[in-house]
Order: sequence, then structure tokens, then C-alpha cells
Amino acid sequence: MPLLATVDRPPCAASPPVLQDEAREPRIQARLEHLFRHSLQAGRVNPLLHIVLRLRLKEGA
Amino acid sequence: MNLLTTPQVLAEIRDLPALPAAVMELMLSLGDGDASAEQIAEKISRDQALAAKALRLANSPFYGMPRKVSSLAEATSVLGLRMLRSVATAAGLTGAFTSPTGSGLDFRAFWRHSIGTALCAQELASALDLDADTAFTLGLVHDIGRLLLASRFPLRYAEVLKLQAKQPGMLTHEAEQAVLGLDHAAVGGLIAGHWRFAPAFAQAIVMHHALHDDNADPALDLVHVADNMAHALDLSQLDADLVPPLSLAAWSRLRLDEAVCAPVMQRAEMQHRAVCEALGM
Repeated sequence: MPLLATVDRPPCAASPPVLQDEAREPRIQARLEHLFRHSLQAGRVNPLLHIVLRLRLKEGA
Repeated sequence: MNLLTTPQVLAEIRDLPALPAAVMELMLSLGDGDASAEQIAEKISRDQALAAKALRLANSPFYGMPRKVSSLAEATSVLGLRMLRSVATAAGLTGAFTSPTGSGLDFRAFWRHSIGTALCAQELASALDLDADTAFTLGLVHDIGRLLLASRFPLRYAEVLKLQAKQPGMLTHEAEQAVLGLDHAAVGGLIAGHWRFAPAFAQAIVMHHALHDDNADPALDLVHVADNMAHALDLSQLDADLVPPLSLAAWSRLRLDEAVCAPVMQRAEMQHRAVCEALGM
């Protein structure tokens, strides 16, 4: 299952696409949890992961 | 299993088929600000597969054109010269390699990540007023060593992926070093030399997982961060993919923060969807 499903309307820079696929949400959560867990286990801070998390939250809102 | 040696790898690189002339010319023309739209369109039109993929992108819903784009001249005005050149380069490079068999490397996921890194590098370079075209090419080829290792040493590369699967959390270059004695970044540097890219370009490929804290070349920092962005955005769509450690020194040197990175990542992600669809990745 692709992380980012195709959208019905053409996206533009001003409005990120609203993603329709219902199966997408749990996979994103699982992937982010997995990546954060790995980052924490390795004792590394990665600001990019936090930015992605906020982008995903904004998309889901 | 014996470790690989540099002469063994170099012999395989010398044995690689030459890239199509149009692809080499496009790759070398990236960064040439003097190249005109007509010159670029002429190069692309010499290769029908490249032209078809560029037109496919111009006709994708991402660009929302009300009617069909049917010529490269029109595609240039829809995509812009930079994107036209970038997508043709990506189409040419991805089309020049066949999917390696027997290694277990996911060919399409490999290219999805490489294209994603290229787009992140291009957007990041634009935001930082650096050379966006060179950044795109660097991102596109930064992992090319993986493709050579998987296609020329498939059984050994299968061992790399097996080790990684057995040890969750182990990064690709760490598994490669453990099994092969060298990693894809070192091999990528050798390939860049074979393709006669500038030494600084090859160096950026070699160092993308091992930046020095006192690095002074922004291109090295840029490709390192762009690779990390593509991993963090999960652009390969591969469940086993991990985000390698981010050099906080590079992050500081490029003066990055959320205000710079968030729009870069959003734009790169949207372009990535359209470009991968056009290239069939």
C-alpha cells in the first residue's frame, strides 16, 4: 500500500492534497512510530522526523 | 564469503554499458545556465523515451492543464526548463539500468528514493540560493553504488539485505560494510569518477553517510540532508527503510529550521508523486 495515495483533484503548492485512502493513516502512524523508535534507540535527534510528524498531523486535520 | 576489493569493483564499473549520449549530455548540462530551452528540447527530442516521459509529466493532473500537451516546446512552458531537464535526466538514468535479479533489491523503491532525494536537494538548494540543477543530479545518483553492487554482485548483496533483515535498526551502509567490506557511497564515488563528474561531485557521493564535522562544502551538507529528508518522508515506500543519522553540524551550517524545511519537503513530496507516476516508478 503506497504511503501517499493519488488524489482526485490536481494539487497545487498553496493547498497540500487531502489524501483519501483510509488505510493510509494507520500505516503512516506505524511508520512514524517505527522511525522515532529507531531514532531514540540509536540516541539520535532528528529534527526532520518532527517536521514530518507535524506535516502529517496538518494533512490529517 | 570474501570481502570485495576496490579493483574488483572498478573492473565491474569499467564493464558498465555507456549511458546513452542524450542522458550524459543532459546530466552534464545541468548547471549550465547558458543552455537554452531549444537546446535542451533538442537533446531530449533525440530520445523518444525521454520525450514521451517529459510529455507524460506535463500532462499529469499535478500541472492541471485543461488540454493535452503534445510538444516539448509546450512541455517547457508547463514544466519550466529546470523541471523539464530534471525529469528527462531522471527518465534517461532510470531507463539506462535494468532491474537487478537475484539480489532482492527493490528496483522501483530504489529509484523512488533517488528521485525523492533529487527533488528534495533541488528544492532545498533553491531555498538556500545554491545550484539547484547540480543538487538534483547529485541527489539522483547519490546511491548509484547500490545499483552496481546489487546488479554485479547479486548473491553477496542478497547477504547484505539478509543481515539487515536479521538486525532491525542496522542501516544499509553498515550492513554493506559488514558483508562486503565497502559501502555503496564509496562505490558511487568510483562510478562518478568513471562518468567523469567533477571530483567535488564524487566526493559528495562518497561522504553522504559520513560527513566530517568541519566540512566546508555546502554541496556535501545538502546531499546529506536531502537524503535524510527523502528517508524521513518515506518516499521509497519501503517498510524496512530507516532514516540514517542526520548530521546536526550540517543542519547548523546550512542554517536550517522548520520554516525552511517544511515547505521544501511539501513541494518535493508533491513533485515526487507526479514525477514517479510519469516515470512508472
